[in-house]
Amino acid sequence: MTKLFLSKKQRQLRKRICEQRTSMYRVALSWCNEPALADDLVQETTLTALAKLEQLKDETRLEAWLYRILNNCWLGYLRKHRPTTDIDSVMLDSGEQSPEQNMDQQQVRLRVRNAISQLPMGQRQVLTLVDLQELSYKEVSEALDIPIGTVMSRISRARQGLKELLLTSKEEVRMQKRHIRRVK
Amino acid sequence: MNDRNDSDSQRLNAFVDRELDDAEQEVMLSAIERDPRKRIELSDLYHLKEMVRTAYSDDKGYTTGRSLDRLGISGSIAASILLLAAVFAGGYQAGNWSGYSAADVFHLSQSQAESGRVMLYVSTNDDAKFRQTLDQAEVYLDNYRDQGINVLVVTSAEGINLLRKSMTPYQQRIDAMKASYGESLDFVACNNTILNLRNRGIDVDLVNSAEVAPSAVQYVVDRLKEGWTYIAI
Repeated sequence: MTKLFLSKKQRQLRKRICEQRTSMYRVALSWCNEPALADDLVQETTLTALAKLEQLKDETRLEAWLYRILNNCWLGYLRKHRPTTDIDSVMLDSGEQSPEQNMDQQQVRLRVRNAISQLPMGQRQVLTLVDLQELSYKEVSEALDIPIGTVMSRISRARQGLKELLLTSKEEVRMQKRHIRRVK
Repeated sequence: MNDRNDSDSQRLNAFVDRELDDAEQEVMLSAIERDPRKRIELSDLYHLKEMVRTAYSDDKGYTTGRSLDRLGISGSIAASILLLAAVFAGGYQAGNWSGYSAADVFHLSQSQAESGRVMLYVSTNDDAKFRQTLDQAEVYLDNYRDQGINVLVVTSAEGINLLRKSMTPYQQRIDAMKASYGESLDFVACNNTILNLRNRGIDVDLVNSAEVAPSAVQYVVDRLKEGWTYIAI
């Protein structure tokens, strides 16, 4: 018989899951780079989590459990849509931005997001779970089902890669500025 | 040499992420004090960490008005939306779908002071779920037509394939159901999904009976505010 009434503990857990939606959206967006898809992934994750809540044995592990579901939803999406788009190749067209605009904070954000989107998926996932979601390495390890040593190496490589990408991006902006000065 | 550099770098990252225990932190702090390159690297790591955090700080999601908060839904209603979804999704996934009779649905619906209005929501490209959705809609409509039941079939994401001419195996059945049940039954597709597909160069042509809502989630939330019962297939 279906249980229509929930215990206080279950209600609290459901509330905590709902409260995670914005955070999950940011992480999902950083993985897929597509707002509508990120919305769908969060929706699917939330519904799955609510439906399978009884499987959560340790409520202190809620976040790791949620991001494990999000990761499964994302992997499921990738499996189905593998050939359509190489998400690592999605790049911003910096040529559309004026050099002045590049100094704007919003443009810096876009450059960072663009750089993150160019990282290999495994590194991107670890980076965003640690930096955006502030999960511990152990929680990331549980969420992505990888050893802690792999979390450590991926986060290190991700930040190194990000740094290099941002430096390259900065250099491109500098060259654009120089080019415009010459035209003047 | 490279291995050692990798290991050093990993430990520095772990330091930044507060993953080292007290003893390891002491060792790292001494190393940082001795090595100016490490200090620069440490500063870069903190800076990068902050940049990543800031890069997404403005994104709250639900960019097309999907957020329950933005829609002005109270916490209790939002909770009931998700509760209903979970109850039904849970039952379905446990293979108990047949255990949900139309009476169960009405029982739930009545508890929200409304009855006779049921939404079936499908968001995955699954032929079994498509068939289940249509079967379920027919069960409700056939059993409760005299009481004035209304059924909405709402589709989004991959579930929209139920209503795409080129994808659905049920075009004739859907049009026949619409012709038979008239205004008691509506099929709704999410425009966000349609735009998303078109942006990828995919042509979207819906069956004749389909209507389009700007956002499926917002549409569902609006109906819930009116007292409709929500069932995620």
